[in-house]
Parts: sequence; structure tokens; C-alpha cells
Amino acid sequence: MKRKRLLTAMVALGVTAGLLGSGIHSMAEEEASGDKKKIVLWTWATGQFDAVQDAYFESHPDADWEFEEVVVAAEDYLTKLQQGYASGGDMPDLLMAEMGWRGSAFALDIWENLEAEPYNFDRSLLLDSVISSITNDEDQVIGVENALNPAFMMYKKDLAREYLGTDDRAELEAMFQTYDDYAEWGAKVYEASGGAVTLFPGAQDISNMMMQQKRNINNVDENGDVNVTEKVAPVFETVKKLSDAHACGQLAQYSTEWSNAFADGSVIFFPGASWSVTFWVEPYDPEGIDNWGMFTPAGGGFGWGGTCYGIYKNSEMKEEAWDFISWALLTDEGAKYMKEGSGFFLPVKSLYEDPEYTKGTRPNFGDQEINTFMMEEIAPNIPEASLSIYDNLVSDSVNMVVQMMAADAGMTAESAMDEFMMDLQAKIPDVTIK
Amino acid sequence: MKKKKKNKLAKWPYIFVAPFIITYIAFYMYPMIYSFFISFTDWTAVTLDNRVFVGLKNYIRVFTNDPMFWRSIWNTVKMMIIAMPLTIISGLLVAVLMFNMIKGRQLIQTINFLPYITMPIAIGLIFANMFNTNIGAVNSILMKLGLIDEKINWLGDSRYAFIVVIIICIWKNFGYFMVLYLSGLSTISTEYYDAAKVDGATSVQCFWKITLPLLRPITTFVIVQGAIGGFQLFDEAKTLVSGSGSTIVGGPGRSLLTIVWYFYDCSFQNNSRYGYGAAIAFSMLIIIAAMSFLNVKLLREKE
Repeated sequence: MKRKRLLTAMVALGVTAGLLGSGIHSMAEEEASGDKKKIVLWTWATGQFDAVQDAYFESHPDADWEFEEVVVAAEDYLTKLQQGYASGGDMPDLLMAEMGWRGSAFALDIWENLEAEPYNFDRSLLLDSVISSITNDEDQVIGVENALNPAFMMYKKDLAREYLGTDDRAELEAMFQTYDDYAEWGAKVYEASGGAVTLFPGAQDISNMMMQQKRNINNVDENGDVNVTEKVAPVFETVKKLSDAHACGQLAQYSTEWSNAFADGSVIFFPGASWSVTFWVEPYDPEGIDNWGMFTPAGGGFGWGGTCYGIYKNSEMKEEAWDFISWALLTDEGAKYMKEGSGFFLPVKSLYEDPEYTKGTRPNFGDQEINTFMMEEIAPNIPEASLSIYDNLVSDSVNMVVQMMAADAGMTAESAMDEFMMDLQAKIPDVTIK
Repeated sequence: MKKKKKNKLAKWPYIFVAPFIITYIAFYMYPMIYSFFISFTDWTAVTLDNRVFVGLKNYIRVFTNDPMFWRSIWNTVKMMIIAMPLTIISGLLVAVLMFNMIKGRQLIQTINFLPYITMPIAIGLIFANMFNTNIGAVNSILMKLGLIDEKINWLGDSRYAFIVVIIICIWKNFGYFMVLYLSGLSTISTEYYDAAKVDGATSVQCFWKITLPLLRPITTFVIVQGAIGGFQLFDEAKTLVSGSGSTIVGGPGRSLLTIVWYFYDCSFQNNSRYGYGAAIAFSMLIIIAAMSFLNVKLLREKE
């Protein structure tokens, strides 16, 4: 009997000690974090805004909160938002939405209307070209774009000199006026290099560029039908033409070899956006100082990517979140850090009244005024993004068919189009596809 | 007095099984019943507050108007039809060869079993690297051996990507099947073999006439297990595709779109159609149950 009592007492003591221990531990954790409130941010680019965050806290010494960043891959972000909201689980206070799936993200009833109280955001502060990509179906602004994302053609100067005869931007622009010019020169480069060098890394680089050049055409027409033939058919025709000419390599976009191609001398042209400079060229080709240039591609400059920030409607940190967003993305001070720290140019009208804002060079691009080129030559002409909930499905089908074309040289543009229509229809059988 | 003590004790069994029962109901029965219920609704992440009861509409669409569902079923069945016999045959042969080994059996057994307990994500990434077109070891070896002149686009071409998944399935499961057969072999009495040898039977005859028939229960189990496992194929194919840098659902030409991947895509990626996704899951359950039933019935009839 005594042994039983002893055993019971020990178990009770053990449980109590365990509970106390965990209590003490969590109290210690709270003390260590100084009991600060947290703004939770799910992000696929941790550390991207460290500079602007530090600057914010420096200029806001009274801010009694801190960031808690949770890493979520960009391709999983929408799913996590949907699951978190549907299950009533944890959600971030600050929401992010990437352009590729923004239409679907904006369809979720999770966003605060930033034009309503207490935010009272004035959309006229922003450049007109970004408004369509930050508003929902009810024409409410629910996000603030973190950058203009002008996109263009980047080239490697040494390879351009060797295979194209020049590394001069103006001459290259004159040489490449149409996609047929890419095919013609692509064949020459392939032949001259014995197949070791191609004009583009892969077919997907071409299809993405062409799709973005037409991103102002909404995938859904006024009848609610998916109307994409006009937009997609020329993409397949061009991919076929360029693949037949060996103008494209076999590299899958964003794969390891694709990243390596920035430095390994196997590719001359890379379609790129403003963020490509800091995310791809500089980290993957650190030794390529003054070996890069950029020019306006055939078909014109375009917009590529883009992330907007919004506020979760059930967040308990709405005011703090808005204070940060409005400071980082709408003020001169925030703009300075976004430009210097991340290479991002904010789409705020007033910033462009200062000619100095768009000045700047980067070592890899030598003395080319790339900021001026991006913001004054490309940005004003980029097509406005027109969002729909089917955008990610359309691009998934296009990517799949382009991959098939790259693997099967015998696949014609017509059969590619048939395959695309069949695939998209299979994914959304209830919707008419034209 | 005794009766009172008995009654007092009677509650303890319930108290002890309660944690299991509660956990089972909360995390197994409730989600199952709830999923079954939502399979009769039109409910998506976009219309979260507006769940509409649609009766059998989702099921009718799954079976009559969803080519992607049938494509994913066909892909899965194709993988199973090709991979399962090869895995069973190789597992059985290696088990028979190893059974009488005295030295090194444990080591070989462990080595062959390791892929089965390796995380599918790791397997997908390892194979994605090995079969990478430009920097993968497979192309490099094949070129050095002079077997190919041009690099093969293993993961970008639907035909080759399909072969890679088959190789993964065989490599992963063969060790498990081998262990099952080894345990089956240890239950066969040596008397059968001794008697056969006295009658002048060769080793090959012993294998066909004694070993194989007596391993039939193991083979039945392996086939049913393999079929269920085959229908659940997902991680390896998905990580193989994403490991190659692609985000395309179902890989090149959707040739790797398995039924579970399609279910995952419909339920959690493609605008999160929870109701329709649940209908796919239960349709899959019906198909797996039917196939398992057929499998067992056919094999028992042969017995």
C-alpha cells in the first residue's frame, strides 16, 4: 500500500514538475522577447526587407512590436492562405500576393479594404498603371504594390561581342526588332558555337516573356468565358519557330542549371525584370562586373512579377501593419530604403518628380544607367496587369505545353494549341474556353 | 461487498481505452464523416461562407465529366502494372538467393531495406539530381559508356519521366517485398525440399513446385499492399518534378499526375475545391476497395 502511495505521489510530482517546467520555460521565453507584440508575416523572401524594417524601427522608436517572419514558398503561399483561413488556423497579419496567382488570392475574403476607415488610402498617390493589379472585383484597393517591375532583355557583353558582333545596346535593339530576328540569330549562334551557346536559356523564358507582354488582356471575357486563344496561339508559334532554330536551350526556368547559366557562358540573352539584377545576376555572376547590359526586347518592355502587401481582415495588429506598409511603401523615406536595400522602385507618383530617384548603376552593368532605363524607358510602357482567378491555371497549362514542345521537336504549334485547350478544359470543365 | 468492488473496477477498462477511443473519433472518424459530408457540397476557399449542398453532382462529374480524373487513374494504374510485377519478381528472386546465405545476409537485407524507410522527399530530390539533363550522373555515365550521343531530357520528356518514376517505385519497394518473402521462406519446412531431392528434383523444379506455391499467401499480401501503395503514389512523383525546378502539376505532359496528386491539386491548390476534392478522395476509396476485393478474390480462386 505504501509503495502504491509512493508511486502515486511520484507520478503526481512528475506531472506537476513537468507542467511547472513548461510554464517557467514559456514565461522565460516571453521575458526574453520583451513581451513585444508581433506582426506575423508569411514570406518567401526572408531578409529581403531587413534594411527597410530596421529603418522603420529606427524612425519609430515608440513601436512596441516586432516582426515574426514565417517562411512559406511562393508556390505554396496561396494554398497556405486558403487552408489557414478555411480551418480557422493561424493567419499572417501582413498578407502578400504574387502577381502570378494574385487573382485567386484576391478572390478570398481575407483582405482589408485599404480605402475604408481607418486606413483611408488614396489611390491617386500611385501610378495609374498599378491600380488594376491591387484592386478586387468590387474595385476596392486591398493591397499596396511593393515595386514597379519593369522587364526587359538582359545580355552578356562578352558573348554578344563574340557571337552577335556587338555589345552595344542600341545596335542590339536595332538587330532584334521581331521574334523572327531572335530565330535568325539564334540559329547563327548555335551553329557558330557548335551548340555550346544558345541565345536563350529555354523555351519557357520565351513563353513567359510573351505572356507578360500581353498581360493586359484578361483571361476571362465579359461573358465569364476563358478567352485565351488570341493570346496563347502566337506564343506556341513563336516557341516552335525559336526551338526549330535552336535559339533556346533546354534549361527549365529557375532550375539549378538555369541559375548557373548566368555565369557559365552558355547563354547570351536572359529576359529579366528589375528584381533579376539583385536576385539572379549579382548572386549568380558575382565576377561578371561590367559584363552585362539591358535593352528593350522585340515586342516591347513588359511587367514581370510583383508582390503586393495587404492586411488580414481578422488581424489584431491592423493599425501597426498599416503603419508599416504606409511608411515602407508610400513615403520618401521608405522608398529610399526599398531602392537601396532591395533595388525596388515604388509606384508612388510623387517620387518620380525627383529626377535623382531613377538614377543609378550597378557594378555588373558597368556604367549603363540601368535605373533610368528601367524606370523611364520601360516602366511607362508596360501593359497593366489584368487579373482573373484562372491566371495560375492558364500559365500552368502554357508551361506544360511549352515543356512538351521543348522535349518533342516534332510537336507543331497547332497540336500544342490543341493540347493546351484540352488540358485547360479538363481542369475547368464547367467553363467555356475559347 | 465483492459485487461492489467488481462494479468499482468495471470503469477502469473504459477509462484506459477512452484516450484511444476519443483520439480515434476526433482524428479519424470525425474527419472521415465530415469529408464524406462535404463531398456532397460545392465548397471552395473562395466561397468559404457559402457551402451549397449539391447531392451527387460532384460524384457524377468525377465519373462522367472529368478527363483529368481518368487520366490520373490511368497514369497510376500504368505505373502499378509496370512497376509491381518487376518489384515482386526482383524481391522474390533476391529473397530466394539470399535465403541460404550464411555470411552477409543481414547486411544485404539492411541495405536493400533502406530505400523503403527513406523519406519520399529525399528520394525525389536524389533522383531529380541523378536524372538531371545537364548535370545528372545518369546522362554522364551513359555518354561516357557511349550508349547515347545526346543528353536525354529525363525529367522534361513525359516518356522518360515516366520511366524514372517506375525506377523509383521498384528501387523503393523491392527491399520491403524481399523482407516479406524472406519471412515467408522461413516458414516453409525443409522436409519438402529434402523429399523432392530424394525424388531427384532440381533446384529450379523445387522453386516452381514448392517455393512459389507455398509463398502464395505472401504474394497475395504483397500484391494487395502494392496496389494500395501504388494508388497512394504522390510524394516521389511530385518531389521529382519540383526537384527539377518545375512547378507544373503532374510533370511533363501530366504523365506523372497520379490520383493522389490530382486529389491534392483539386483540394488544396486549384482554388481549393474542398467539396470536389472530397468527392475525388471517396471515388478513389471506392476504386481501391474494388480493386483490392478483385485481387483477393482472383488469387483465392486460384488457390
